[in-house]
Amino acid sequence: MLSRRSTLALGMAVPGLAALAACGPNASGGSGSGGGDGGDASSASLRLAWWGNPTRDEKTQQVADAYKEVEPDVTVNLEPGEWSGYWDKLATQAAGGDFPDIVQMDEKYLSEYAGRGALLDLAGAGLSTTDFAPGSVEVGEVEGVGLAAINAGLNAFCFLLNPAVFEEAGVDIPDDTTWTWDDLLETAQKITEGTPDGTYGMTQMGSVQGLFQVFVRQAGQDQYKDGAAGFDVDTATKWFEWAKEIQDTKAGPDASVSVEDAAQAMDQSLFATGKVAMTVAWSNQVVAHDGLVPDGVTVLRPPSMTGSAADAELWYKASMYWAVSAKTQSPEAAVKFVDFLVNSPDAGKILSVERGVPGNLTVREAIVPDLDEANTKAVDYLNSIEQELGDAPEITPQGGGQFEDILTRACEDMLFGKLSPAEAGQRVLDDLAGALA
Amino acid sequence: MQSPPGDRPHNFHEGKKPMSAVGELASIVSSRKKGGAKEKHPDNKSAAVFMTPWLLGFLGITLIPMIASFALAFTDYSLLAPPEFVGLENIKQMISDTRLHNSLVVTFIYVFVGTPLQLIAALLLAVLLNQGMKGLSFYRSIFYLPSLLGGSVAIAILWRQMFGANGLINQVAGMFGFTDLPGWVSNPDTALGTIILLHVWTFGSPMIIFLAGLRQIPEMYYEAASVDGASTMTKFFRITIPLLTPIIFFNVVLQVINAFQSFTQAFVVSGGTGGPSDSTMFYTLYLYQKGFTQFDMGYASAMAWLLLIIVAFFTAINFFVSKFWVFYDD
Repeated sequence: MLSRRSTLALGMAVPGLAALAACGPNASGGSGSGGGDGGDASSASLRLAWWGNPTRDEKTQQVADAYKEVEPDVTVNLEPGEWSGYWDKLATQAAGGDFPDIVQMDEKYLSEYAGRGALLDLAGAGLSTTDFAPGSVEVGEVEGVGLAAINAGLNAFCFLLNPAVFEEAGVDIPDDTTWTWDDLLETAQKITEGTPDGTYGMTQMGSVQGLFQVFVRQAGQDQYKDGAAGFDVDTATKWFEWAKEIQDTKAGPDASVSVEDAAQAMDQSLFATGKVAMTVAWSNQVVAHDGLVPDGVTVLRPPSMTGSAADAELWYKASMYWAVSAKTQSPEAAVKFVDFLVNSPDAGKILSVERGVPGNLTVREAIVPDLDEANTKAVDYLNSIEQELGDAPEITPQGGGQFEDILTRACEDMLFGKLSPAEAGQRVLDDLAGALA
Repeated sequence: MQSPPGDRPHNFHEGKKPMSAVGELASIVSSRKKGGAKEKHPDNKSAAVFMTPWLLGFLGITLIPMIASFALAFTDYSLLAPPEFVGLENIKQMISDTRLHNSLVVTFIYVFVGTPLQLIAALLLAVLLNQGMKGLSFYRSIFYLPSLLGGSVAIAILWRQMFGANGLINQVAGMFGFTDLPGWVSNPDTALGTIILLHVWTFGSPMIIFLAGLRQIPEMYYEAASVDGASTMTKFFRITIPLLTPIIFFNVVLQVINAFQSFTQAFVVSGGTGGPSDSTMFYTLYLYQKGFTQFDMGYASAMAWLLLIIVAFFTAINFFVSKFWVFYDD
């Protein structure tokens, strides 16, 4: 029979077992080898971390192999990752003193890391930037640090169209030099009407930070100004009203389908499966999308409020950066490897424009003629908007990495009817102020 | 627990019935106090060696991190820069953090709806399996399977697909004429429900414990009740349940603690966001986001301690209330 004692004993034994089981996989999780073994540039062991996709992983592997021939005594240990887990891992490594020597950095987190002294001043360490296009180096400068990161490729925000869906709906592809935000909705509605149920004109774009930034810039504001939010509640409200119209006019899918679509892998998304005609992306993702759609994608400029592409207020963004740890044991070797990545045409030929179009003009000239059709689309797009660019936006301040989550949350609440567009606009401003504080 | 013959000075096995682990521990301690501690026992060294892995684990991944997190709870710690002492700032911030309050509500719903449902499912199946059916061990394994898999990432992904707008659930429902159903995981009104369902489905380990408990109930009580003409239901409520209360109590305590700490399901089903619109933002998920994606480890540490206090509080209540309903036979 059960006694009080034996129940207690069970109570001790079962959690004990659970604890034992729980520590299994974690207990063995030792970290990789520490940094290098000296400050010498010609012999060192470097760790290189990045997020990406299989194509990028392969190209990065090849470039590391190629570096073996330049510097036979330098070993580059590769630590590929995925976007979602990358930042959690990097933060933990930083806290544990296990930061990789060279990391791929994003604009959102640049001041987060650089501002806290985690990144080396590359200019101070002697990285040459003389061949870079004007304006493409400055985007990596952080006040008080210097050149915290070097541009690994240029990007611009764009619309991607699936021409097959347009054809199915019998709708012409719009002229992107004159279209407005309302034209976009109208075109999308026509496509939704002209196609079977479950196919839509456009994705729900209300939670897309890049497009939000285009929108507020066209309203004469920007995402950030002087380290705080650079837009007012009126503009944010107009944005959410526009997003609500996507849903209400059936130009795009309803909230529930959109939420699910956002969580899908790229190849499972509505756009890749031909269920939606228009989506948005950064231009370095043109290639990936192009491969998923049978007839290839068409790249268009985002619409403007005035109906003139000259007022589209686009900008070149660093799609990503390379940065070197301030605590690396071999700063010279690390900087030299970064120099190879961004300044060597040989490395450029391997990496191509997968991380964005190189800011280094010599490298760009060396690789552009050999690009395939999909990559050419991305480069042509960047060239075509060059004369229409607006001012360069301010760098994301500390805490701004949360903005996408904040925007998504407010947008979802609004689409599910929990908030009005005006309330959602106010929420975004409040939450952003809290995150930046 | 068999002592090697001959060489044991303390012969604490001379009881009438086999002792439980706790009893054994108590008698070891008491015999040591009588002067046993000073003698150099040849087994002491090997005992220490065998305990080392556990000790290292306990110190390295439980005790020291806990002490560190207590200290960090009073700091502003971004992970990237050294922590700065801020006193009670984090606690003040927690009082006014509406997302934190929302995450508590979500977690409480999960714990206080999910756990009872899970235990009821476990008990009913245990009773069913205890009927002496053929192939018992096969069924036991089958029903235990979800518990092995339920906490895993793969099942959470499967769940997300099944309960999606075009998932299996909606397609089956479509065959019966229910069309235009929402995506269950992508709708804020139903997303938490799907995760609770996943939790209920992992009833295996309480079920096994219930089964063991049912085996301990002497057959003679049921026979006597049958002679008196008791129905099956009466036997269940008058014999099975009362004699099983220690096991029920044990399962309640354990499962409540477990449920408060749930993380994987919500993380995977919502893609790490706690969405749609924070409807699956579990306390642990918010803690994780604060610490690792929002660079606020000090705040996350303070949250971890609040969770410990909450869990301790409910466990204490459980033990207190148990006096009134748990029946021990000794």
